[in-house]
Amino acid sequence: MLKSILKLGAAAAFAAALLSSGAAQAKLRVAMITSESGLGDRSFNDMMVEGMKRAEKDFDAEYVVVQPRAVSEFQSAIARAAAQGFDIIVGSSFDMIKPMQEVAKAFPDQKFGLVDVGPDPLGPNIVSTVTKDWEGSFLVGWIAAKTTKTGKIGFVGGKDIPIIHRFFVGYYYGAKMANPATEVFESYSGTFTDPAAGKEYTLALINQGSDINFAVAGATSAGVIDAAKETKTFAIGVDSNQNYMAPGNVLTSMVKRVDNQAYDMVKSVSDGTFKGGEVKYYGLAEDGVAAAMDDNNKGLIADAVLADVDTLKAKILSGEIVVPNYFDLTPGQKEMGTPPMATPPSVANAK
Amino acid sequence: MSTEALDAAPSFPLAGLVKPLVQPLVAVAIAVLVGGLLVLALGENPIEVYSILVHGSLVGWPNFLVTLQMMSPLLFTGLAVAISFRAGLWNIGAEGQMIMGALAAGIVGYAVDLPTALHIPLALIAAFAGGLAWALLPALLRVWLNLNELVVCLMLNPIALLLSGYVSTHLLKAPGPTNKLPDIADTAALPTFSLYSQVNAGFVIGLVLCLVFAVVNGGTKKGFEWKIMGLNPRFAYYGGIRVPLQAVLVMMLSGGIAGLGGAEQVLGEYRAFYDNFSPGYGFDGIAVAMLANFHPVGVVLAAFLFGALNGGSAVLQMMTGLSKYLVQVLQFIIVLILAAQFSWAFLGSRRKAPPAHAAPAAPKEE
Amino acid sequence: MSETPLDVVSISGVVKRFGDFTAIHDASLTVRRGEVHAIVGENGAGKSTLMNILYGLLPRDAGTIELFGRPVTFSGPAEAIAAGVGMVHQHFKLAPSFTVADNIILGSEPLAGYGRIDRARAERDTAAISRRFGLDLDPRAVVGALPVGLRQRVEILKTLYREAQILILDEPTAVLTPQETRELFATMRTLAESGHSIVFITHKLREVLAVSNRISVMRQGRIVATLDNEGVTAQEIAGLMVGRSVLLRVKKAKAEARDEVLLKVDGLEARGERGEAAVDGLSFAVRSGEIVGLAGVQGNGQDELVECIAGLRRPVAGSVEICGTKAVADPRRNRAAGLAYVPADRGGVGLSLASGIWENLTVGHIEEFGRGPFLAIKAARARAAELIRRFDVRGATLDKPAGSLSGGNQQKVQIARELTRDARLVIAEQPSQGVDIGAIESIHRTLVEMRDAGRAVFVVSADLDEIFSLSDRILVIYRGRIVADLVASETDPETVGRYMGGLEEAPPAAAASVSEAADHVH
Repeated sequence: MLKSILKLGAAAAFAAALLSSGAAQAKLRVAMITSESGLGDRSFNDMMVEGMKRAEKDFDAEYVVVQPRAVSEFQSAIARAAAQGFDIIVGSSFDMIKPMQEVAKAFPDQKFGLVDVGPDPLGPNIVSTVTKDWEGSFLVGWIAAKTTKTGKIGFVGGKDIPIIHRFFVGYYYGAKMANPATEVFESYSGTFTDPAAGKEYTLALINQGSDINFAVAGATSAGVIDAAKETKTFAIGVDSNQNYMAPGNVLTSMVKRVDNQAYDMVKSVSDGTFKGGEVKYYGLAEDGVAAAMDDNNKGLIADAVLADVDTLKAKILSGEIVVPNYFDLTPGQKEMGTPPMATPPSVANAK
Repeated sequence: MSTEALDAAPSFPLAGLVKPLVQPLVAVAIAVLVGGLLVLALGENPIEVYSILVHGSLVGWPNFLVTLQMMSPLLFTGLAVAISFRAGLWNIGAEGQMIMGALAAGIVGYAVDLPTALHIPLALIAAFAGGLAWALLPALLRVWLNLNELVVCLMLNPIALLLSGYVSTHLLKAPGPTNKLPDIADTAALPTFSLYSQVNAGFVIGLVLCLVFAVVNGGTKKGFEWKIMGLNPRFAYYGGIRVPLQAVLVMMLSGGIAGLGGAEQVLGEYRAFYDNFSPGYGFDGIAVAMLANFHPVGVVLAAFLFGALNGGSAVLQMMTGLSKYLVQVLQFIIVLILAAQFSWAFLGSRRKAPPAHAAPAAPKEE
Repeated sequence: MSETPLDVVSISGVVKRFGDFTAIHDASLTVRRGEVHAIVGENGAGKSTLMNILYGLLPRDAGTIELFGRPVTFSGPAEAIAAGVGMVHQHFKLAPSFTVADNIILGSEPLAGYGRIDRARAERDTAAISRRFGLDLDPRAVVGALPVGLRQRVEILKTLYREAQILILDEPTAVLTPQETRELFATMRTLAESGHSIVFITHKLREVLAVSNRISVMRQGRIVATLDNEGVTAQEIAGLMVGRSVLLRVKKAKAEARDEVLLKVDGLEARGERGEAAVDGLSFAVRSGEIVGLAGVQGNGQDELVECIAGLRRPVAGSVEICGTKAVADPRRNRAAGLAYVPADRGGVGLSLASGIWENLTVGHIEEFGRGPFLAIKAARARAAELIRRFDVRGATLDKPAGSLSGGNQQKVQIARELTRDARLVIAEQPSQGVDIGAIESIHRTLVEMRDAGRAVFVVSADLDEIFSLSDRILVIYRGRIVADLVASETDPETVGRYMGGLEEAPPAAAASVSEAADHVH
């Protein structure tokens, strides 16, 4: 009861504001809600804005960016955007799931989109995406195995937990596919927030002969990259393009192309294909993941290796290659993926 | 002549009410002016921008409630800073104290099973104790070893952040991708009122605290002693005020209040302790306290101003291409002006009375 | 030089305002070559302000200043010094860790090659200049180790080194023993005879009469008279200063000391700020119904002694009893035991200058106005208003910060607060420091009333006039020890002065008898 009164008040208030601002064009209006780190994070928020910029051009849309300062401000930001009536409200981050669902229930006609979250449908008027990070990990594992001089590569996970195992399995599968003789070291620093620990673990791997190490460890990754810089080896970044963090020593970054995911959401509203409740998967074939290439890692990867990436994409699209998802594996499973390949010892030996 | 002057001065002259408002209003006015020029430089119409800001923070229940949400944590941190600064204790550790209070509330909120009537009070007490504990250390170091509480508080802020980070990302982390503790039980939740805003019963607690301390400051023996202590601790001590004891008491209250601010966040807004949940409410509290002239009622007004700026910010971002930084710039300008005035006054007072400060034991010629 | 006119300084129509307060009204004054010209007046009369204008520290709002017949406007002391004006401030501006010679040349160092300071020449020059004016000083002595009187000489030499023709001395005797004062006066005469002009700011009339050629009296920013020092009496000058004639000695009946000891200090030892033995095992007692004065040159342990009694400093050894209760290092408990304390450090200890006057009057009386946890603010303010009237605190309103009052009125606030406490022991530290004559009189009368009401009064003062005016018994402190215990009516300032200067020390055996004497007084 109270809520509906409040909603009414809000609608009236915003209607008034809307009229006075004279923004009654036919343009597609998009609101992007950033996560609390806001713009300038050189990560998801900045990347999503890139997607918005492209969508603005391609679909005659206009977008605004709302930057809440804290997770506690997500709901009010989404609700007020909903009250103002955008064509779609796009957000990211797991922490936005609950606030967006709350608001979506109160505004059943408003379209919402949330990028890079889990596989569960979020509601009848929310589309969401899952990034097939295991396919991205597969790709960088493949590149690493093709590039290593020692035949040994490493993996530094933030924590020994399933969501991180998913990266490792993809990485392992890609490396073995590129060269079955490649040795892949698996390690977990136990923290997502300690660069010093990341550096220690990485130096240990380098001592074992690894010359390329994939960092999937949040802020700990900075230590992994730092170790690469110090020892003149390579690190591989994750999530966003981290090549800039040590130009010449970051081989590439396994980026989640949230820009493409957000772009597609605007597109679906523009062309009328928006389907509430849909969960779309973004893998290698959908350009949802990629190995970041820019000036910072120019020339580090052989052209021949890069040329093969398109072949891999095609094979994944055709189903010739199916990169195993850790969540589909059972403990002790001996083989995985298509074509089948021996599972890493951590899975094979698990009870 | 003196007699007339005495009689002519009523106990609460009108000038006494207006004068303390002048300085903060000037600061705000300058900030608005500079902000307006900035907006102009960015190619927008300042009048339109400010009217959106006012509209987006005050007009309509949703906007107004968001403003109240935004000001809620500042009521606590602002009050915490205000009462300590007023007593001459430079507690700039409200951020850390709030985090520790939030952590305590978050743990009690999920780990204890109690009916609402007990659960909320227990979680609030835990939060108060958490903040208090974090303020006790600088207070005791100050009293025992004469260590500057400002420095100790400053150092304790990141320690609180890291410690709570360790608890919420390792020790007691809830399953899932977010670094947080498990959600608090419904029995510990402070009720919210609206879809649009997480403003909750904690706001009322903050408001009541400010009013209570307005009375404490203005009408009690303790409040009187703290004020004297703040302006000249040696005089207060000489005059029979138990300065060390009161200093510890004020720091404990200050820390406890900041800790309650953490409870407002966790029990009311987040419903769980989130790692790194605060965008700097403890530091904003310093600005609020300064704008408030360290007066609890002023804290309510200053928190409302900052809350309105931040609340209106989201609407401004939706209605114009301006980013959240405009509002932050406005706040920074206010803080800058206040800080300038403050240090000017501070240095001025030192310059005027060098013997009093420079040579505590022997002020005479020599 | 031969054409130097008689009037080396000629100030006419100078006005100085601070906001809407006019500190100097249309002041005119001449200083002749070779004279000692005293400027006397109460505190706040404008003496220092006028001289600061002459020295270039303050700009003037109107009027002209002529130096050697030429109009001048100094924008800073550097220009004044260059023009031949030197000033010795009440607070010395010396670098304590430097030698005498270093201090004298500081700022106008003689240079050898390559920008190096020519130390040999500095020492030679210093020695020469001190010989020339009969100011005996070792150029290599470290200033921090010198007694106050010698440090003052360094300041004077510093101005002479810069070839000052006109010397302004701001309250130069405040820190000196009578012997040192006499030497200073001799120096002043020597300088005057050698053609220098001395402007001598003071409020001690005896000194004015002793040394000056002419006397200008200031009152409330005006120069009310300039007199030749011939046949003028202290009473006349005092009358001009305050606008009415005053008693220079408070009238009091003979003390009726009772046997009840209200302050007992026994074998007290305390360390000073630098860890030195500032109070070195001293004992004495003050009884109900007597005023005991503690005489001594500043810095001989008075501050530390009083702080120990007040509970602001923790003694190393010995004990203090206040009204039969053992004192502790907690002012709250000592006050509860019956102590009222008027500290010398008004701005640092005795008042909160930034707080309102009513608040300053209420501290120490908080419990009287306590209503449970609350404070009866109305009652406290009403009482403060009454005290302001009763003690005639001028320029006071309840909410005005105490710091806005003049020194004398600040002192009245302290005294009003402390002496209205129900306390049987009163300690008054420099009660008339920075207080004008009118106020001194009333402060002294109040202290005598306290005594007559059966309280014990302990007065610490650097001013011998004050000690003699008030005390029934005089203790002299020198280097942390009581070196003399004298009956005021049976001694004289010269004797006390000798004890103060350490020139006459009670023989070691007498130390015990001194403390015994404390038990057998009268």
